[in-house]
Amino acid sequence: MDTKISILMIDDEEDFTEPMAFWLRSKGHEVSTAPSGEAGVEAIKKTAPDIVFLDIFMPVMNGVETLKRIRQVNEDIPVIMLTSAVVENVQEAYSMEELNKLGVSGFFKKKDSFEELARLLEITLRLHKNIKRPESE
Amino acid sequence: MVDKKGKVLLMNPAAEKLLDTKREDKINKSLLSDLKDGQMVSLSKDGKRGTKTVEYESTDNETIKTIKSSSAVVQDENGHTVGMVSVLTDMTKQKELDQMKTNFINTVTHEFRTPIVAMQKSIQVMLSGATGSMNEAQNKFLAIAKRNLERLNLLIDDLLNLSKLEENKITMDVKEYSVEDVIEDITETVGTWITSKSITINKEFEPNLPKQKMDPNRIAQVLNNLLSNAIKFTPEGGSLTVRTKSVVGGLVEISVADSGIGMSEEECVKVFDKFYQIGERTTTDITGTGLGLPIAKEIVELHGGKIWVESEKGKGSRFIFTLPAA
Repeated sequence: MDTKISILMIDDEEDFTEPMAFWLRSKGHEVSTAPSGEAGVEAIKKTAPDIVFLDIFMPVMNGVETLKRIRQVNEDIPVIMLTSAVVENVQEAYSMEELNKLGVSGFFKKKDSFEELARLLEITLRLHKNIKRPESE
Repeated sequence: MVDKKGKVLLMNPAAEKLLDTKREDKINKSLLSDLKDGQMVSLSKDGKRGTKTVEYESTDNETIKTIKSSSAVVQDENGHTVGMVSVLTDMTKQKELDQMKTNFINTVTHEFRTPIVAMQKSIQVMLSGATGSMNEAQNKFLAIAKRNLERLNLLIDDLLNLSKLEENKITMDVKEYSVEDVIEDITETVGTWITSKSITINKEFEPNLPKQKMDPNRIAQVLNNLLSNAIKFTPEGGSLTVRTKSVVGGLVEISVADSGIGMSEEECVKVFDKFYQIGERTTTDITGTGLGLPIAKEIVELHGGKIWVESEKGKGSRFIFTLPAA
């Protein structure tokens, strides 16, 4: 994938976001992280990234609540949900209908490989062709 | 004890206490007659004949009581039903314990995933080369760490799966389906493994076998577990046989036979126990969690089938299960 994009990763687990961000940066992307839903929404208000990674299970404000807030400030930004469980469990916990209404571009199982992550990013970018490029491009 | 219309004839003090009621209030009335609207939570029948579970909200302290009732029909000398005698057991405590166990397993397994995933991602980022090049030994040991984290994840998946099956929390999508199609799918999935061990797989399908009532995804899980075991215990160059046939009672019998080391009578009994493992584990083997057969057993029984094994030391094993024909 040659497109360089800006990514915001909203997740309370720093030990997870650090290696993720390191790998994404090694591919040339700009990555910022937010440790809570609240901080994530604030970050989007300031500068909207090209793609948001959003953890489903977070304390205080969970992924679905955060996504609702994100949609209030930005309707179009592509969001990929991060899940440590298998997708079927997520479907149990939150109705897919609700997530789809809020506009989710995909799910990334945290245990999956970086190749899978690259594939998901590629697909999401293709579906959102109007994504802006960072000025350095 | 109730008459054939369900009206109470006799009731002992223990039953009075259990149903928090007075005998005088119940005699000649239907047992559940004075339950208020919404007080009844659920009434379910077990697979076993004459056993049902009643859940209702107790009047004095608004707690939900679970009562198991095992009943037998009372007949007169001419064989006519005159009433029914029921033995009631208070299952409330046991139900609470089961629920606690499930909650515990669910919480623990979810809590396990968080640190595992942090380790996995840290290892993956190093193995990807993003942190700089590594020598052969570094690569090797990170690969070992990675493989074992995958094993831990498999174990967590299986534990969660089994706990849901045991709690009947799995929603089954039952349809008319052919088990032969499932077998074809699974043998394709394990194809490379079979080839790598030069194992021959024979399929002996009965012609015109009726379709079966099943959730194909769940039965795929059963066959995957049985075939994986069979491949694991079949020596290089050996053979496997998958057979289907219809048997009496509207059932279809599916069997997976290997040409492996076989099992003793004792092992045949224990093999469906959780975490029971036969033989030595090789270091590169991440497929065995010791939960494959207990999971298969739960799934088959949820379908109303049976699973068992026939084996003799040194002569290979044959795992057999039944499914109801459609």
